Amino acid sequence: MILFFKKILVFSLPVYAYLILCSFLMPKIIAIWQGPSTATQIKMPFDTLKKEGFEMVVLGNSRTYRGVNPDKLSFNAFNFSHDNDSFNQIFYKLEFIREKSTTPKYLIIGMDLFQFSFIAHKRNYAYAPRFSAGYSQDFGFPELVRSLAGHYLDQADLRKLSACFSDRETPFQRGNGQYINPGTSRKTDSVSRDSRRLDFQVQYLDRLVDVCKSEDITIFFVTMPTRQRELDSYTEDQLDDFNKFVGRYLMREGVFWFNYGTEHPFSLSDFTDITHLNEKAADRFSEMLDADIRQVLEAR
Amino acid sequence: MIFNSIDFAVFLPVVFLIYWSLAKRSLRVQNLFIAFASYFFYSCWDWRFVFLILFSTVIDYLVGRKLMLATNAVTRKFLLGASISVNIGTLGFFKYYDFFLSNFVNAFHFFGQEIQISSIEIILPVGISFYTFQTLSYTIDVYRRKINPIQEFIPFAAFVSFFPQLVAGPIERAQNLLPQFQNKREFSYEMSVNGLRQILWGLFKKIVIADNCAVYANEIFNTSESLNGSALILGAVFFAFQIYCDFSGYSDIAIGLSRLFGFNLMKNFSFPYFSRDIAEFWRRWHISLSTWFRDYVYFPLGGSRCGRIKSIRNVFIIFLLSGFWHGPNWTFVLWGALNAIYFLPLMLAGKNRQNLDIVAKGFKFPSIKDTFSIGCTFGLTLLAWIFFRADSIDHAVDYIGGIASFSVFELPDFVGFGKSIPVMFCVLFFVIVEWIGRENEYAIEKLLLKRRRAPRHFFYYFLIFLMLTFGGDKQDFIYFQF
Repeated sequence: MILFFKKILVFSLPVYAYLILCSFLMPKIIAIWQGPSTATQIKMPFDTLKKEGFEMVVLGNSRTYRGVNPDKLSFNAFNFSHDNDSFNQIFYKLEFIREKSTTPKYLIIGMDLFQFSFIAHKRNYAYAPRFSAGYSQDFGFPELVRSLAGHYLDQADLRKLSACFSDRETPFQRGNGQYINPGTSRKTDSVSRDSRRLDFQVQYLDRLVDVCKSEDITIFFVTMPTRQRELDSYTEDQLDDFNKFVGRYLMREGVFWFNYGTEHPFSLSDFTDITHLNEKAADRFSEMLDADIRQVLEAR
Repeated sequence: MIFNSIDFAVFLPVVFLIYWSLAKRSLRVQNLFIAFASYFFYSCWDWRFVFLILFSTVIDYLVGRKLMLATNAVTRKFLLGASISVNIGTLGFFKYYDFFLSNFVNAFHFFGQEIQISSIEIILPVGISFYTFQTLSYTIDVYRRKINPIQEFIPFAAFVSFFPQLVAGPIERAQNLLPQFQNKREFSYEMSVNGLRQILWGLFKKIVIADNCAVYANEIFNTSESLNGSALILGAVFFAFQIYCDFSGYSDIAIGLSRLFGFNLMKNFSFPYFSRDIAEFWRRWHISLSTWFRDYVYFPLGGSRCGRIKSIRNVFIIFLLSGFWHGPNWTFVLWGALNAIYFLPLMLAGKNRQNLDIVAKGFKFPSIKDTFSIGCTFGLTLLAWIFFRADSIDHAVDYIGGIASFSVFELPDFVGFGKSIPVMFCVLFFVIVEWIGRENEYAIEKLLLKRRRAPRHFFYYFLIFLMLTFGGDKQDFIYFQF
């Protein structure tokens, strides 16, 4: 049996060497053509917020990450959203800001129906070291190990190098936190959304709202402009139920909702895919959102 | 805890080390440990269903012991009936309750009567279709006096719960596997290396072929109403390779893992897509299930030796049962019926046992006749797979209708066509390797074995490289849902 283990070890050494090499080289190579890696994208806003505070912070998933340009808001704002963030990540990001930066006066929080249906774990390798222990406890040590191992195994996916041969524009992340990923939408784009509402995410949303109330932070829930083909994932009943659900929070002071999901002036050419606004549309949207926020604040 | 997960990568070496360190102690301790590890493995899916498998194990163990003592034929039949009732009843409840309920309600609705019955959302215990059949084979063989009932409970518990084959087969026979738990097992370097080789091939099939084909099969089947005929054919082909590589990949991993622990499981797939007729296909596809139905349903009903009408009836029964075993959906039943229709002409003409040898044995390439036969057989199975994969019978009919058009001569028009081309090359590579290795237990069993180590290892590294580079979006093993 010792011979057996020796042979496995010798056989697997090149595989480990390959994985280690990929984990160092691939992010650097891919960044040249595909823009900053996920780890880099996540690191930048944390570093920025440690150095300076902001009056307004944008939190949410990829729709706000790409769709809100803080430079077009008339506030000192920063975009702290990220792909696949849901309310547990948003809650801990706010906690991070309160502890390591300046508590903002206003929060823009992306509010999508599908956002309650998942517990994202793929970025735990980047989030867990930066959030407090409560975040990691939700997942448990084995899940964190899986996330880390999955991240390193993912580096060995050489298909990512195909981006080097693509003539598409390179994505980039602005200093204000917004991420720009160019693309062209198609009529046939589709997505299947899950309308489940996990108690886990609702509880985090409740905690988030409670913290904002105690810290006197005004919340602007924002449902980003949504294409009809994405809205088709939901039934009328699900949309009504969602409206009622969010409506509960609006009864609290300091909570507002801008629902651009069904009524918005954006067309197919304003999207990069089924769900994300492109750079120019994001600018226009941000100006529109800013005007609506100003109107609400002036009326208060 | 699926085989291609990090959790299993931690679980396996720990269990392997402890298992073989216990080999120097008693066999009893070793069996106890493997049973404990298997129950732990199963509890990672859902700990509540550990009690279910334990219940099934205890019932069949006791039935076996009682059958040994019972001499009265009525008593023996009663005991067998009890075992069958408990196992099939449990399977029926968890798997088919909601299906029968909804069809019952629909039947009343059809006749204009509305009835309200609350359905229960029942979670299907993973592996229940497999371990219930496995334990049933034990009690039936004891009843038939083909094997003696086992005296000790621990080896029997280990036999039922053996983790490599617990959740998706092969459905082992007590005659084959149970004695292996009763005999001392010695670590064998050759057997372990062979096992690792088979695991590697199984992982390749699952990660590179099945998971990648699944992406495009799902895309095509989910948007089939707007695609052209060639895209739909490609979707069916992707699904054919998805289900074959997913299921046979799991079986390869299960058999390979068993070898690591000193066990020999039965072969479950024998290159079915190289079959020259449907009868041969069914001798090579999911062998453990098809032989189970043959031995415990088909032969007791009389097989093909009870007159033409009854023979036809028996063929339909086993194929419909086989379809129904896969799940509570009429599409599976229709898939079974279609295969019965394919099989019957061969049986009635006495040609269902004409291709018993390996296709083109000793030759590099098949003959033109064999190539044509393989193509036709593959085409027929493709048609059946459409029903298997479709969401409903209407969906399957529309899908087939979409194929039957002149658009089959156009380029496939689904969105991922360009990205699917590397996957097609991977499938082609896979088919070539399977063809080269078709005379072996599994494709790469003896590949390059006669050569020096370097080319062999280079091939293994190439497979690992493909897994790391072309690993598809992780999908559950298809047969977990059954």
